[in-house]
Amino acid sequence: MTSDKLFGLSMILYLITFLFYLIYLVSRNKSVAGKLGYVATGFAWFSLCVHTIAFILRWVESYRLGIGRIPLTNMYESMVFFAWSIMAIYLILEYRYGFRAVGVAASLLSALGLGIISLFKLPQQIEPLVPALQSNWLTAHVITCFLGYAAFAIGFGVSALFFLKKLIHKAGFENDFLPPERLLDELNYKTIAIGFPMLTIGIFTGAVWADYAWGTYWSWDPKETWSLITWFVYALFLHFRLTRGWRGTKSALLSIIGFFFVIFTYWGVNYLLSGLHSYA
Amino acid sequence: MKRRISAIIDIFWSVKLTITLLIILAIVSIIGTLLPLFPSQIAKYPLYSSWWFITLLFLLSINITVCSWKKLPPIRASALPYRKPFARSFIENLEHSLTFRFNGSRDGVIKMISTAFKLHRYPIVPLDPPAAATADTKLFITERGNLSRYSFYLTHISIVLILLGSLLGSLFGFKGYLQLAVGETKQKLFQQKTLTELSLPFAVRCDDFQLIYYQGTNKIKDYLCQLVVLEDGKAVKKKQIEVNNPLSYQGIRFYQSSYGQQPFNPHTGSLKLEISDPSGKELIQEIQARMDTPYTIGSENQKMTVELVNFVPDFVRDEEGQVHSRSQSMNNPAVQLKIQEDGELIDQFWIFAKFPDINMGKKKSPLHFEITFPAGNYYTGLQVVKDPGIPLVYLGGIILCIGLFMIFFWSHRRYYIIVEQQDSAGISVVIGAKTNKNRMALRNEFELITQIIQKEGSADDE
Repeated sequence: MTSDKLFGLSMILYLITFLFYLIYLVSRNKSVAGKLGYVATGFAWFSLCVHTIAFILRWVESYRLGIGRIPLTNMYESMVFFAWSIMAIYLILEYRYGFRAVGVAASLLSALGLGIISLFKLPQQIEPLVPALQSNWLTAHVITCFLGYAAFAIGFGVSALFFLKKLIHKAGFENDFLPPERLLDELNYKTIAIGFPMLTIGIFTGAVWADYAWGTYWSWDPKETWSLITWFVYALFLHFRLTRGWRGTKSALLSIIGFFFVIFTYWGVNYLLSGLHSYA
Repeated sequence: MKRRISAIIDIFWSVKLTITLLIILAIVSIIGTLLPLFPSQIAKYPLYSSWWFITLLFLLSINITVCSWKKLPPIRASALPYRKPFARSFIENLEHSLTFRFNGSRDGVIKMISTAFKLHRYPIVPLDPPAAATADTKLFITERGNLSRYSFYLTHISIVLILLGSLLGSLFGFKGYLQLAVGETKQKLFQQKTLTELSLPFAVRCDDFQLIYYQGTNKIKDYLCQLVVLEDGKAVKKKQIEVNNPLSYQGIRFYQSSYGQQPFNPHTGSLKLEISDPSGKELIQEIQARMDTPYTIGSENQKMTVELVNFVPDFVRDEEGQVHSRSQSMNNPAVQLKIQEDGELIDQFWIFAKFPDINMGKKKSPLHFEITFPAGNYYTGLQVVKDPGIPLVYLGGIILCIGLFMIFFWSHRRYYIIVEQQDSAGISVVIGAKTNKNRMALRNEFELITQIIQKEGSADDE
C-alpha cells in the first residue's frame, strides 16, 4: 500500500462524505436529519484519518529512500496538505460551533484538492531537498501558510453557498435547505478571523526563513508580493466589515475575490510568473 | 495656519484613506510582478524602490499613526471600568438577558450570584442605583477584557514598526556579493544594486570548502565553507557556514549563497592521476601530472608513458562524435590520455573526474586511470548583508501576530445585574450581558453562568 493509493482512497472517501452532508442538508425529516448529521461527521473524521495516515506514510517512504523529510515541499505534497487542512479546520469549526451546514462545501473542496493532483498528473516522486530548503522554518512557514489558505477556502465555500441561496430565492423558491443568511455571514467572518492571522504568521515565518537563507527578509519576488497582495485584500475585507459595517452580499463577494487571489498566489505565480520561489 | 494643519490631519484621520491606499498598493504591486513579461527596459524598472512607491508606504504609516492617535480618547474611555447606573429596561433590551425569581434572603441571593460569577473569574462590584430606583434595588456590574480594547494598537503600530525597520535597513544597510577561492582573503564586496564596490572593516578568508552529495546520487545535499574573520591579520572568529546558517560579525552577516569551481588552467595547473590494476581497486601509481608532459608508467624498463593531451571543463560529444565543451564551468571535466610504448601510440582515450568508472575509447591498455582535480579550485559565493532595521522588523512582526490573535479572540465582556426585593413576591434578579466581539463565545459563557445561578437559586428555595 503506497501513500499514493491512500491519497486516492481519501479523495473517494471525501466524495462520499460530501454525499452524506448533502443528504443531511436536504432531508426535511428533523430526526432523520439529526442522525444523518452524526453519520456525516463520523465519516468526515474517518476520511481525515485515512488522509492523515497517507501523509505519514509518505513521510516514512521518504526515509526508506534515504532522504527523510516531512512531505511539504513540492506541488503534489502541498496540494495534499491543503486538502487535509480544509477538512481539519472545518471539523474543528464544526466541533466548536455545532454547525454542519458547511460540510458540503468543505468535503467537496477537499475532494477537489486531491482530485486535481490526479487530473493534472502532478509529479509524485519524492525528491531530495536542495540545500536552501533544508530548514525547520520550511515546516513552520508551509504549515501556517496552508492553514491560512485552507481557512480562506472554507470562507469561499461558505460565500458560494450564500450566493447559491440568493439564486434559489431569485428563482422563486421560498424554502431552500441552506442555513440562514446571517449564519453564513458569521461563518464567513469566522473563517477569515482564522485565515488572516495564519497568513500573517505564514508571511512572517517566510520572511525569517528568507533572512536565514539569503540575508534578505523581503525581496519582492512574485510569490512574496502576491501573498502580500492577498493579505491586503483580506485586510480590506476586515476594514470594510469592522468600520463600514459591510455584511451579507458585499462580504461574501469580497471573500470569493480574496480566494481567487489565494489561488493565484498558490498556482498562478508558479506556472505563470517565476522567481526564486519556484519550489511549490 | 492651525486650521490648515488640522485640515491636513483630518485627511489622514480616515479609514477611507487607508482603504484607498491599500487598493492602490495592491494594484501597483500586481503591476510590479507583471513587469518581467515586458521588454527588458520596462522589466528592469525598480518599482518597489521607486520614490513614489516608498511615498505610498510613508503615507500609509502616517495614516496609521494619526488614526491611532485620534482613537486614543474613545478607546481609553471604552476600556475604563463601567460605573454608570442603569435601569431594568436597559438590561432587558440587551441581546443576552434573563430574569429570575427566587425566594430567601436578598443577601443570600447576592452571595450566591457572586459565587457563580467568581467561578468564571468575574468579581462583581456594587453600583449606586439610579435616583428613580427603590431602596430595595441593588445594582452590580462586572466585566473582563477591558484591555482588549487596546489590541488595535498592537496590530497597527506593529505595521509602522515594520515599515520603519525596512526604511532603516535601506538607508543604513547594504547588500553585496563576495567570491572567495579556497585559501583566498578578501575585504571588498560587490553591490549588485549600485554596481559599486564596498570595503568591509575587516577581511574574510575561506579555509576549506566541502560539497556533500546525497548518497549514491550526484544531487547536492549541502555545501559548507570554513569562514574566518580577520582583523589586522589576526583571526577573530571562525565558523563553518552552510545554506540557512550564516556567520555574523559586527552586525554584518555572511550567507553561503552559491559555489563554483574555477576552471582548471591547462597551462599552469596540475591534477592527480591515479593508475590502478584493471579492476580499478589496487592502486599501482599516483602521479601529480601536468598537461602535455609524458610520465613513465611502471618501471623504466617498460618504456610505457602516459601524457595528458587534451582538457575540456564540460565534456559533450555531438552527433559526429566531435568533442566540445558545453560551457566554461567545471560541470563535467574530462582529460584525454595518450598511452605510448616504445614511442608508439597504443591508446588514446578520455577519462572523467565525475565518472571515474569510464575510460572512453580505451582499447589496448589493461590499466585503469582516474583523475582528480585539485580541491583548491572551488570557490564559495557569499551574500554579505548588513541590515540594522531587522530587529525593528522582527519586533513589529511578532507584535502584529500577537495583536491579531488578541483582536479576534480576546473580547471585552460586561455583565449587568439587578437584584430587587419585591416584598412578598420574592427576589427578582435580572442579568444581562454585552460584548464588543465574539458573540458566540459570550452566548456560551452567559448560558453557563445563568444555568449555575438558576440551579443554586432554586435549590435554596427548598
